[in-house]
Amino acid sequence: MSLWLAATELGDFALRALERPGPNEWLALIVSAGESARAARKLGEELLALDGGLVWTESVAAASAVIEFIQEHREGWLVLSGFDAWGPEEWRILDGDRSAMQRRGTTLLVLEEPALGLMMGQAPNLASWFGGSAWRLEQGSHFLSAEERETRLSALRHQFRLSDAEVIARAEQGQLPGDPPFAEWLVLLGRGDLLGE
Amino acid sequence: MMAQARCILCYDGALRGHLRHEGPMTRREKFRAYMARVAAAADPALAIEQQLYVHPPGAISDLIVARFEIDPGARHLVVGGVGSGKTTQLVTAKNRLNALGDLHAEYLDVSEKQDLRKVRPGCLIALAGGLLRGLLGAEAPKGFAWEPFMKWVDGSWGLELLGGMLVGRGLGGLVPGVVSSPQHDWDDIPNEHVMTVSKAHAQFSRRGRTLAVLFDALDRMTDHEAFARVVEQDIAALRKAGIGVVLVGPIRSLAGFGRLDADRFDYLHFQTPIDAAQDAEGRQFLMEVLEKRAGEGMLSEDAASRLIFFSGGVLRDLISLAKAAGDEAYLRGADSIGVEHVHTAADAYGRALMIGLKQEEIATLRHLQSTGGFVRTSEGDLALIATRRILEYRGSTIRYAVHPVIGELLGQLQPTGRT
Repeated sequence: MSLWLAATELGDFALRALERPGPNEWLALIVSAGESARAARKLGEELLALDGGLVWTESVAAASAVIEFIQEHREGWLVLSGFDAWGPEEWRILDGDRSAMQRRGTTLLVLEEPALGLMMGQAPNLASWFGGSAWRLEQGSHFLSAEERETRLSALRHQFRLSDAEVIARAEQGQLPGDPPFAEWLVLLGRGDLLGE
Repeated sequence: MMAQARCILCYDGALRGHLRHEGPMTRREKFRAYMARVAAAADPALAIEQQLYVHPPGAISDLIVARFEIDPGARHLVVGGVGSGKTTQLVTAKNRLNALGDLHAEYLDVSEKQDLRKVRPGCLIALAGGLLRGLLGAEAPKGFAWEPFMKWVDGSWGLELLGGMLVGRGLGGLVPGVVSSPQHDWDDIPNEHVMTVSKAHAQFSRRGRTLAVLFDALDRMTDHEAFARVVEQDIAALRKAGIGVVLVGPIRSLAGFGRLDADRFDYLHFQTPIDAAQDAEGRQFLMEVLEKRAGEGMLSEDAASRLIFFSGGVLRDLISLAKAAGDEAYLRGADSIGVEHVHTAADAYGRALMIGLKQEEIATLRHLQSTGGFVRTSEGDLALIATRRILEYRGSTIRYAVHPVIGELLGQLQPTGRT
């Protein structure tokens, strides 16, 4: 059971971050399964184009890597990914070390929804820095190429043995499960309007 | 191993010009100044320095200072939820204690000095000793050596003898005498080091000042047994040394067997959210916080009222929501923050706060929302408070409520889907 976070496009998310001068601003971008690293890279490029300042992107394997990296990069934009493989313990460690993570710049976490859920539950002190600053990346033509989009749709069709038309019909009848892959399917088809039907 | 990092250096992108010309600079500057003043995650000491601090009614810093005025060696435990303003109160208390003249207060974020996963008895007395060493400088009493103490604090090369393991080996066991001398309460801390700190503090006190240490961040310890051992032994050892203590502890210090932790202290202070619905003075305080941070003409009274409602009286949430509402107003082209921007911010905050909730937790929240009933019995119940999904108010009675940003969404949530 969960709720949809407000959707954003990558450029809008970068703009939101830019309008927060800090110090120590923290924002989260929620992406589809397997997309964190690529979205983080694109976000870094977007920030660079918009701001032209220092932008760092880093995939972090453990809490200790986050602390180490932050201590060496107090200024500028920091785009972090790699949280999706973390278990609860890593988040608890990060929460205990929150004081060491104060930055003058803005920090952006790119992660999947289950990882955000772990952060909310296991790292309440860190989570309080975000407030409600978490958005879901709207997938589609703004982020995926046509070829990439078709590859993903094909994988979904194969996985669930359903056609695009069947998915839309079920969504219109309110019979489509609320699981993230089906939501992603609708968005890729340009039918995000059917979400929550 | 750390993954490869990329640093992309100054590039004057094509979009940069668009950003610079998207609207009148005065509007952008006004909003950016506002956003800087509502930086909810900024160091609390910075807010005090920037004169953004508003003194709350019944502030725990008032109580701590008043108690120390008549009992400088007292032991205080501070308990409160995330974002309730505990650190701000500690920093305020430190500044005021230092102005008294006969106290020297030091604020210490334990997590900056000590890995919270490795906290063990002796940590706090070691940190206090380190502070005294710095304060005394070359002033240590004759025949007094810091070296053994510092080796104990920082570690040294050599064999570690575990207390009693080698004593009596091959010689038979010790037959206790009829008279047993009283034992101190710090079994795991070598007594010689407690005595070192005690002597150093006695020397420091000759200047006419008593040391008080305000230990922050121990509320983030997740190993409750380790916390209990530290409280049991270090607080007693600091008392022996005559050092005043303020310690921020976890919420579970007050639950079940954790109550024993609170019993080790002379005074217990709760830093809970402000119950704006039932506390007019508290509500006025929250309004003043917003007025001080928002600046002229940025926030209507209605918008401020809604921010106070949605914050649940949690200070950091109030400021975070004010920031998010400012974000919405700016991106939608408004000149000031209206009620509609507050509602959008609260909706986003609630959705983020609900991520990761389990079915049984949703059921607990719904039950509390519909009946007002909540009995804190399990670890899961404590977790709902620790993560601010449930707020605990302490007035003349204890009251629990679902965080208002979640309350608005619970009714919309379908059991099998999303809203």
